[in-house]
Amino acid sequence: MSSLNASLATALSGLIAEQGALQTTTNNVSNVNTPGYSRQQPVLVSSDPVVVDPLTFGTGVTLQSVESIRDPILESRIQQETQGQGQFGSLASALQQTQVNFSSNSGDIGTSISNFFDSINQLSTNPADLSLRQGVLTSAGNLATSLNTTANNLTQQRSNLDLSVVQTVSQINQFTQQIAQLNGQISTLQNVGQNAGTFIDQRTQLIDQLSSLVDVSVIPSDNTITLTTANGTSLVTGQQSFQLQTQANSSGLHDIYAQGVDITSTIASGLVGGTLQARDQQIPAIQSQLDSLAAGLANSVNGVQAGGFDLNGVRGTNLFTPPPISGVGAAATISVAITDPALIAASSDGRAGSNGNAEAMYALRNQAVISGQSPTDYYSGVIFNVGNATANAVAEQSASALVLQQLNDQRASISGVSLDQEAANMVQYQQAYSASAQVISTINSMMQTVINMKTS
Amino acid sequence: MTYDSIANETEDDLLRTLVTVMRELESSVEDSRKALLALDLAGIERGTQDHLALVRKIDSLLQRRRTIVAGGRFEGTTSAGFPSLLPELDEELRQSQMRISDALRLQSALLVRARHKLRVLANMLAGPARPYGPPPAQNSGLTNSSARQLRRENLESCRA
Repeated sequence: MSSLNASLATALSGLIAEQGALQTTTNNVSNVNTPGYSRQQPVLVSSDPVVVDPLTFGTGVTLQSVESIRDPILESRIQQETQGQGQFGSLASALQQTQVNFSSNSGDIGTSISNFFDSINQLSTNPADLSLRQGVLTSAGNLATSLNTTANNLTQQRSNLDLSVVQTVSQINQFTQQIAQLNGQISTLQNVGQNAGTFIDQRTQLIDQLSSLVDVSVIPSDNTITLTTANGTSLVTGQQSFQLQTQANSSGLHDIYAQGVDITSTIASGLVGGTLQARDQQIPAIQSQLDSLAAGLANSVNGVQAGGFDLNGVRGTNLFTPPPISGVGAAATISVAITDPALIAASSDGRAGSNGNAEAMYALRNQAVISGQSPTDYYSGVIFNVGNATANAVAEQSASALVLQQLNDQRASISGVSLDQEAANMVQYQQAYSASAQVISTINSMMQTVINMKTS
Repeated sequence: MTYDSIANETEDDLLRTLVTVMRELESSVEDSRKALLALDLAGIERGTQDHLALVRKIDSLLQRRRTIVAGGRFEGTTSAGFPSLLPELDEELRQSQMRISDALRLQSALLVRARHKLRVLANMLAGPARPYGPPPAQNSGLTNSSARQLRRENLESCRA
């Protein structure tokens, strides 16, 4: 039969276990506002029984472990959506800056195109008037300036985005280094059967932050995790982190390398993904369209100029500087080639009063001179493309934010600390502790009885 | 609306109706978004039906507007004789169009995410077991020649 001492040990195990459970609850309550904290719960198991023939007696309770409550699938979805939010956030921000270049104002390209053709129309009413001729040169200069300014702004924006890529890569390296360190601490604790919940929470939070910067895949393995990029290049393996490097390419922009391999084109999401998308795809596409516009305008106007005669009765020369044959850089370099207003070829037959060529030049306004469209229509298309891309990026960003909010709410309902629940747990553990203490008191009284029985 | 009232309807009156219907569409798209976020399939379906009905209504109103403009029935006043509010209504209509366009872009982005989520769930539910149907039975008693005969018959029946 079990002794009183054994009963005392059993009651003591209850005291110790309930104390541990209460400690877990206290820790949960203390961390109620800690970002990324996952609530913990004590795992109580009954201790191994002892057999005293023919009976089996329980030996109390053991606090086997303290486990953190997490949903790995939910965590994975949060990381994926965080990557999307980082990507569309940076893309939307970049495109909104780009869009500013195309907003309607007195110096924008659309207004400059209209003003240029209006000035030619006025010139056709009195082709010999020098002030009207000067008006054409001024409006042509304004048009060239607006194209130059917009093209240069876009180039400057690409440089700024490039700087952002370099800075973000540096942040990524810091995160991967910290995650590798935490992997080591988690592994050490788990190998000796200790609870590494706090470190796992810290690691999860760092992975969330890393996900907002770059697309990462998390591969769990024994007591540790491996992080890779989208193309499978390792960022963290166990306690080792692999640094990303940036290196300037021939165009002066930085490419991203992982262990000597250029992975720039494989990064699709996260802040870096969105920034690269704006830097390498969206803005160059807009620049290319502006180049087509500038080249188309310059070539068509110069062509009409060459078919007419200036105020001196001489064949017309280029009004705009001829664009490069490939068209690349046309918007940034276009300028007015003549300074003398008399050199505008308004006449179609060499007479000073003739306006035939001025009318032909004005007719370009509605002619399909750029990729089968008139200059105004083509420019409207550019504006539409910029606006459409911006609106899509903003919508994607909003969708990501909504979904992420939902997922975070779900995570909070699973892993977050509920003060009501913790209060109930505290009462439960307190009562169990009191009951164990009462049992000890009773055993003490019984022992006293036994001692008194022997002495009496 | 009776035939007479339609006949007397001005562009102002019609634009007012159009603005009201557009507001209904805005509200319907918003309801659909909430339903989509809650994965309320009945709500999504109901929203889609509402959108279709409202789009048909808008189409019909636009058709009538074209008729009115072609018939020159815009005289600067409403059918009730009030001064025209065409510019204000047009601006309100434009703003409404932009809001609906943005809301639909958002809805589209959410639909892509919902589809992705459902695909993940479907893959999880399907599990890795037996994706290609049951394996052929061992010792099924089918000899090589009889198997060839069976395949030939199947092929011919397919051709037929």
